[in-house]
Amino acid sequence: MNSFFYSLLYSIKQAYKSLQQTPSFVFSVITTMSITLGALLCVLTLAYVMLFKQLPYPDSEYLVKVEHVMSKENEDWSDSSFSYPSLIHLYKNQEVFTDSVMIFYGERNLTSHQEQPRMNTTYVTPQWFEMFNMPLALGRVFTEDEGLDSNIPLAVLSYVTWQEIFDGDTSILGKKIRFRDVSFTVIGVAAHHFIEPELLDINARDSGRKSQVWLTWDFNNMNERGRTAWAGVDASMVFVGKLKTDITKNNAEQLTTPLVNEKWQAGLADQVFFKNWQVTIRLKTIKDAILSGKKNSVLLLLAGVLGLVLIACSNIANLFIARMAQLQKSLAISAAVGAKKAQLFKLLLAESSLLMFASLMIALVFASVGFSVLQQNLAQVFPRVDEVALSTFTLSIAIFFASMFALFFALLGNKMINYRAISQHLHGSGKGVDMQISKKVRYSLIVSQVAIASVLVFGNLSLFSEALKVINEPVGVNTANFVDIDFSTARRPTQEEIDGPVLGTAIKNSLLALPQVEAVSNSQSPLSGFNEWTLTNVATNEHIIPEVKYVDEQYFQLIAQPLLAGDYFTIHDIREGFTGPEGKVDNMVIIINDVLAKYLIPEGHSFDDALGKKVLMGDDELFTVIGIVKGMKMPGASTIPVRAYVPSSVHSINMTVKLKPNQTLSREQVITAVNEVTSLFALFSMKDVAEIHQQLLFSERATAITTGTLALLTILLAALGLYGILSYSTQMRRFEIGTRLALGAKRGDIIKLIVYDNALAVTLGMVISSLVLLGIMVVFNEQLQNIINVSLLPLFLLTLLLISVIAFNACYLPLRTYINKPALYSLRGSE
Amino acid sequence: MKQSINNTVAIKMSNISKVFETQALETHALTNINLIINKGDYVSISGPSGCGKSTLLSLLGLLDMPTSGQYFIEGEDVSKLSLDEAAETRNSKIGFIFQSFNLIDELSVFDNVALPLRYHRDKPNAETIKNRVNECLAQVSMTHRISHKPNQLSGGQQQRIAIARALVTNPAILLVDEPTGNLDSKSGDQVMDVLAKLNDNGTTICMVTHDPRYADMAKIQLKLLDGAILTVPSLQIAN
Ligand SMILES: Nc1ncnc2c1ncn2[C@@H]1O[C@H](COP(=O)(O)OP(=O)(O)O)[C@@H](O)[C@H]1O
Ligand SMILES: [Mg+2]
Repeated sequence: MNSFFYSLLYSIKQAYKSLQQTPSFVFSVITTMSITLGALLCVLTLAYVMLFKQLPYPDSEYLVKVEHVMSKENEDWSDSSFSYPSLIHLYKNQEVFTDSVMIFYGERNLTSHQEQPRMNTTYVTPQWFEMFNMPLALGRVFTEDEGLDSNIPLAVLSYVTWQEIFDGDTSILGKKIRFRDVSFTVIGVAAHHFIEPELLDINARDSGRKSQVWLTWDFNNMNERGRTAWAGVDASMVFVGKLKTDITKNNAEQLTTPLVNEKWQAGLADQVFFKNWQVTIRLKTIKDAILSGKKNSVLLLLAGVLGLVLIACSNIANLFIARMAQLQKSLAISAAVGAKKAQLFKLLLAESSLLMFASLMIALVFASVGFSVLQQNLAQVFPRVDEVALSTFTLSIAIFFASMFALFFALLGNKMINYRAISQHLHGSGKGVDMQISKKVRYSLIVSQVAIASVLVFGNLSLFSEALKVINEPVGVNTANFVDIDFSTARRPTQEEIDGPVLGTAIKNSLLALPQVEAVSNSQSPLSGFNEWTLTNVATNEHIIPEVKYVDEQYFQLIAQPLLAGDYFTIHDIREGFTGPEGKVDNMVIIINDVLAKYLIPEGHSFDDALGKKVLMGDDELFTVIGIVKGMKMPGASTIPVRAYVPSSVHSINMTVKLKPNQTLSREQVITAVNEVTSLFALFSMKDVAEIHQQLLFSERATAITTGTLALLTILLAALGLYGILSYSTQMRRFEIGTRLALGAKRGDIIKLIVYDNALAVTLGMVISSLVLLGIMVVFNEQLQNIINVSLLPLFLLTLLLISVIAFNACYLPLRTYINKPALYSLRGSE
Repeated sequence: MKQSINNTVAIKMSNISKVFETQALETHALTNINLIINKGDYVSISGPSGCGKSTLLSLLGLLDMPTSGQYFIEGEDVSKLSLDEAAETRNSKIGFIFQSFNLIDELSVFDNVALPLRYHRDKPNAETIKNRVNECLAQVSMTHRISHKPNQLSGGQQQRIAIARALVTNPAILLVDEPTGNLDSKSGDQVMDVLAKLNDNGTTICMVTHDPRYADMAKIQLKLLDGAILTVPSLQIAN
C-alpha cells in the first residue's frame, strides 16, 4: 500500500517534470480541454436540472397542471386555457386532489409608490404557499380563511421586491400597499432562495416571468364580465392540483371532465357558436408543464456541445500522438534501463491525469461563469435556470469525464508507443528506425477531424442563419419611432367623470400637444399582441377564431399597413361607448387581413368580393367587412394568422405615439402631460415599439448567440486540431522535404506536394460529412422540415470553403519554417 | 572584378567564409576558402570531425548561403541567389549523394530517380524521363530493380540508386558526403567503384570522406582544418 503510494507520487513527480519541458503542449491541451469541459459541464448541468432533477416542491411527482381543452366534434383547439367560471367550478367541486390552487398571473401599477412602477402581481389561493414550499424571510402567508371569496386584501412580497422597492424595510409587515384602488396589507416576505415554478404557458414575452408580489385571489385582474363568461378563456389562469395517491392521472381526467363539461355546456347553452362543443380536462405533471416545448432547445445545445467534445478529443489525441513520437527516444532509453510497459503506462497516465485535472479546475470556473450567463440571459429560453449551480451532480460528472479523458489519452499514448521501433533503436540497427506514426493513422485523424468539423460547423451555421433570418425579417409595417403607451385607471371614476368629456380623447390630445410627438393613434401598437374572438361567416355559418385588435381611424396609415381592397376606417366608425357596440349598433364595420379574406371568398376570387360580407363576432355582434389589409408577420412568428381589426372606442386609453425623428419621450413627460388633464389615469406601461420587437425576438436572439458561439468555438477548435495534425505531419516529413529541396524542388512544388497529399483526406472527410448530414436529414426529416430548404446548399458550400481554407492554412503555415530558409535547415540532423 | 571565363572550370570559390551565429556564440565554420574544381576532376575533402567539411559541401551545393565571398558554377555567379533560383540551379547543375541515401520511401526506384526531372525547368515528357532514368540506372547497374521500393533494397543498392538520381539531370558536378558511412565495406567498395567509373567517363566529383583509403582514390585530395584548406597538392589555387 505504502509502496504503491510512493510509486504513484513518483510517477506524478516525473510527469510534472516532463510536462514542464513542453509548455506549448501543456498550454494547447489545457486550453482546449478547459474550454470544452467548461461548456460540457455547463450544458450537462442545465440539461440535468431541466430534464431529471426533482422539482424543489414536496410530493412534486403528484403535482399536476390542469388544462381545459375546448373542442368541437373532436377537433382540438390548441388553446388549453381555463375560462374563469370553469376554473372556479372545478376548484369548488373537485374530489381528485388533496390540495388544489388557483393562480392568476397579472400586472398592476403600484399606485401607492411615488414612481407607480408596474409589477408582476400573482393572485393565489392559500394552499399555494404550502404546495410550493415557499420559505419566508419575514411574517406569514395566507391562511385557509383568507382564500376564495374571503375578500381580504393581503400581500406577500418577493425578496427582490422587498429589497428594491421597499429598501429592505424591516418594519414592512402590517403596512399598506396600493394596486389600482385597492390597499393590501403586507403580511410576509419570501426568502431569497425561493424558486418559483414557471407555470405560465410559453409565450416569448412572458416566459421567465418572476412574480414580484403575491396577492389574495379575489382581487385578480379578471373583470366582472369575464368572471361569468364561460367561453372567455385566458392563459393567465392556472390550476394546479396534488393528486390523491390512489388516483391516477387518467382516472382524474375521467372524473373531472364531466364535472366541468356539464356545467360549461349548460353555461353556453344559449350560444349558437358553441353548439356541439365540449370541454375535456387534461392533466400534465408540472415538470412537463414547466418544460413544455423547451426540451428540444436543451437537447440541441447538448448535441452541439457533444460535437465540441468530439473535436476537442480528436485535437488532444493528435497532440498526444505527436508527443509520443517525440518521446520515443527517451522512452527507448527508459526501456533500456529496465522500465516495463506497465511503468511507462503509469507515467503516461500520471501525465494525462495531471493535464485533465488542471483543465478541470479551470473548467469549473468557466462553468460557473456559464451558469450566471445562462441565468442572466437565457431565463426565457430555459426554465429552471435559477436552480442551475455547481452541485454534486456537476462535480461528479466533472470528475467522471476528466478521469475518462485521462484514461483515454493515456491508453492512446500507450498504443502509440512503438515497442518494436524502440527495441530496434536499442539494438542499434540505425536503418529506418522511423519514429513517425503510420500514414494511415495520420490520414484517418485528418479525415475524422474534417468530417466532424464540417458537420458541426454546418449544423451551427444553419441554426444561426435561420435565427438571423427570423431576426431580420421585415414586419411589413412601419414601426420606427413608435412608442406604445398604455394607461390604467388609478381609481374608480366619479360620476362627474363618467358624465363629463371623453377622457380618452383628452389624453390623446394632451400627448399630441407634446413637442416631440408627430402623431397619436388611439390603438395598441402593431406589436402589442391581439385578442382572440370567435367569428362566424354569416353566409356559410362557418366558424373561425381570428386575432382581433381595436384600432382607430389613423392606425393603418400611420404604420403604413397596405390596403388591398376597400377602405380604411374613418372617424365616424369609432365607437362612442365604453365597451361593446354601444352607440354603433346598426353600422358596425370591420377590416380583415388577406389571410382571413381568403376564408370568406371562393378560391381565385378577387379580394373585392370579400367587401360587404357580414360576420358575427364574439357575443353575436354583426359586422360588415369594409376593407382588406395586407397581413403583417409578428417578429419571430413563422406564419401570418387570420386577423380582424375593429374600430376602437373614444374611451380607449391605449395609445401608439409616433415621435418626430430623433426625439425621445420620457415617462415623466407623459405623466405630467396626462395629469394636467385628469387624475383618473396612471401610466401603465410605456415601451418603444422597437423594444417590444426585440423582446419578441428573444428566443431567436438567444439561439443566434448560442449557435454563433458554438460555431465559432467549433471553427476555432477545428482549426487548432487540423493545424496540429498537419503541422505534425509536415514535421515528420521534414527530411523528405529537405531532400526534395536539395534535388531542386521550388517552394511552390513543396506546397503543392503537401496540399495534394492532404487534399484526399480532407475531401474524404467532406464526403463523409455530406453523407452524415444527408443521413440526419433523412432520419429527422419531420423535425427538421422548416429548417431544411435550398438556402442550406450555399451555406454548406460556405462551410466546405471555410474548412478548405483552414485546411490549406494548416498545410501551408507549418511549411513556412522549411521552405523560407535555405534547404540545409530541413536536411540538418538527417545524417 | 576580374574573372576569367574558362570553360574547363566547373566550380570556383573565392574568399568564401561561413559564420554561424548562435546566441552568444559565433562559430567561424569556414574562413577564406579559395577553390577551383575543373571539369572532370575527382576531388576529395577530408579532415577531422567539426573542421567544416559538411559546411563546405552545403555551400558548394547551394543548400546554404555563405556569409561572404563569391561562388561561380560554370562561370555563373551563384553567390546571391534567391531560394527558388538556388533550387533551380541545384536541380540542373548539382547532383547530391548523401551519407544516408535520402531516398523517399513512398516512391519506387524509378520515381526516386526521376524526381529531379520532375522539378526540371524544361518539363521533360514521360518518354524522355523514362529513357533518361533507364540510362542512369544502367550506369549504376540497377535496371533490374526499377519498381522496387527503397526499403526493399540493401544499403549498397540504395546508394547506387541515389547515385543514379544524382546523375539524372546531367549536373556539372556530383557532391558526395561520406557515401560509404552507412555501408559495410563490401558495399562501400562497390559504390566507390561506381564513382570511379563515372569519373573515368568524365563526371566531375567532389567527395567528403574521412576514410583515407577512399580519399586516396581521388585525383586531388584536400585537407580541411579548422575551416581552412590545409594542403593543396597539385591543385591550382584561384587567383
Ligand atoms: N547550423 C549551425 N549552427 C552553429 N554551428 C554550426 C552549424 N553547423 C555547423 N556548425 C559548426 O561549424 C563547424 C563545422 O561543422 P561541420 O561542417 O558539420 O563539420 P564536419 O562536417 O567537418 O564534421 C562545427 O564547429 C560545427 O559545430
Ligand atoms: Mg560532417
